Amino acid sequence: MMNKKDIKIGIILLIFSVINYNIIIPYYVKGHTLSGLSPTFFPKLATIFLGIFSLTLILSRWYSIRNKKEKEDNKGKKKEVGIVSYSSYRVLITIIIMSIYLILFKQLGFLWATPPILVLLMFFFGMPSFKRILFFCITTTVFLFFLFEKGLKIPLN
Amino acid sequence: MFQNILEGFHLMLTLVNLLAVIFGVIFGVFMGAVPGLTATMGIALIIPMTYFLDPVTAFAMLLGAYKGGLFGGSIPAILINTPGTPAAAATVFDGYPMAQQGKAGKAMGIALYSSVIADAFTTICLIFIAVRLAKIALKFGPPEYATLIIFSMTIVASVSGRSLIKGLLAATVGFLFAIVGLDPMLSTPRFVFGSVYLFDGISVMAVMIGLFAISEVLIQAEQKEKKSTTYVPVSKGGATWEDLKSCLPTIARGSLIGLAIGAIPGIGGTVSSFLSYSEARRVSKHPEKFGTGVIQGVAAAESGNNAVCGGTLIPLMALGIPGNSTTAVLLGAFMIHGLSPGPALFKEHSATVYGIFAGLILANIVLLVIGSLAIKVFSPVTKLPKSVVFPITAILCTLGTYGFNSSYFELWLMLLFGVIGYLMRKYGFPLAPLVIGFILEPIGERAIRQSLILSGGSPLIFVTRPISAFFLFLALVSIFILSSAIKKAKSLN
Repeated sequence: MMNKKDIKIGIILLIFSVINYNIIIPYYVKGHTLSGLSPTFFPKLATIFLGIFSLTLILSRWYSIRNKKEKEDNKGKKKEVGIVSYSSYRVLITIIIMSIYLILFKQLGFLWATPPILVLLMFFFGMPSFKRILFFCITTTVFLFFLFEKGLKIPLN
Repeated sequence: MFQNILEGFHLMLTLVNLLAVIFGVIFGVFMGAVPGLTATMGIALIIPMTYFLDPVTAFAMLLGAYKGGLFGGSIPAILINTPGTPAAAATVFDGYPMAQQGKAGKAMGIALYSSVIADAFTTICLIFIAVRLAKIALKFGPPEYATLIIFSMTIVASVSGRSLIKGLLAATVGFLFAIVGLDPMLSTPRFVFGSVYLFDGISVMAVMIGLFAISEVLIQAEQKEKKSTTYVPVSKGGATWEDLKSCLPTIARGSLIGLAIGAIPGIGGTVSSFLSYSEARRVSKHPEKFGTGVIQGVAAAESGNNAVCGGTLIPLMALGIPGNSTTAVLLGAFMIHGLSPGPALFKEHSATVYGIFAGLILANIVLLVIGSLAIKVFSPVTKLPKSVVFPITAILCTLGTYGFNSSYFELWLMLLFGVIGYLMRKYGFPLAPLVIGFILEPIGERAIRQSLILSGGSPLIFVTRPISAFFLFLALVSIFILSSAIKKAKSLN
């Protein structure tokens, strides 16, 4: 299962390295020099290595799958689990909550953006008691606000 | 010399100085323990408080904050998988697994002892061999830096876990991320896609916090907590004498690596801690256990990290050359107090210099006490349920990243790297090689390109200079040893 995933990632990285070398670097890495190495040298070198390593990953995993298949030919196929699962949805929701927080952080400032997001995150992570949520939410927000804004003089609003 | 040291202690041992050291260490530990805040920021913040103090008291406070900050970074690295400072990234590898096994107290204890021992060793070196060592470090030109970085790249193999090829892929991706920004030689834009926010490159703090902390928050978010349980087993007991004894060779190795790396300007604690970790793994009888919660892993990373403190002060005090951002800030503090670091400092302000040295030793002792208290203060974090720890971690990471440069753009980078870190962990890609590639690329690229300009394009410059040839030889030996170890491991499997 992991081998197949590795092959997929290897293919994605290989395609990316080809695109990076032929399209992104020529357009987005500018400059040349008369002496020494040009600014494009290291991006190109890293991209070539990325391509080589991706290819090595694909081939090694493909070889490993082929070997396993020969050994397990008669054992029957294992059922594959879908990539999109309950946990994936939860991770996606967390990313969305974090994104909303970053937007609110810029628009409203720390003091107004943090309490609702903390309540949401604590509830989402499974905190059962609303009283405890409220307690941690208020104390954390107030403590961090005074620490950063007043103590460390980092403006948060 | 001994007369001077005694005079230094006479100058240092006053109640005011002791209080200054205690305040500095507490403040430093706190700054290090908050992800995103660093010892450098801590020192910069308390410099204004030192304007009216005499130089010895002022530096007692500032250097206390430096030492405290270096140790403080290990606390969140062990407890919540979040390196408080970039240099504590290597502490995560074994520190967090130890915490998950209910050994957070032991991990933090050994981190403290390793920090204090390594720091004490480099302080003694600073006092006795600063000038000589600084002269050797000055022989480092671009070719030596370049080959040192090439040698350091062999660390990738040590921290790649089960799959070397995945480690190499992660390191290459880290390399590419580090290229983003202005070219180090010509200042032409690279991969900035028209965004001015990317001109300075990608912030190391956004990368570290995103990769380690936010990815951990996302992993913990996968399952809803069914009842209010602690997110790691509650810690039982701290580090024992037996633990420390088993780590002493590792700490000695880490101290030497930290001293050498610290004395060379521009490399820093992150490289040192990774190198120390890599060496500890290489010489270990059970290298395969590293990364699963091995106490020597924590000792190696922390000794390598903290030994840099004395190391960086060597070129600063002996030659007036700041080796990293922290010593650059300290250089400013020296100037503010009317002192010019360099050979003349030892002649013109001998009493003050030895007073500062005494302050360094005192700060070490204070760190041992304050560090033990800090472990007790922070340990209850392991008793909190994950529904409290991880939402607060997410908020703290946001604040830490924002506080580093006051940039909203970096918050989005943090989230992006959090998602990248999450996907990497889900697909079995190690995070450490990406961090190593990201940190080493700028230093290595600049050094290689400067070397080739010096040599008129001839790569022979890397083999004709003795120190750089030595590092290349070390890199080859390291690759040979690692490849034979990998072959051996494969044949055993």
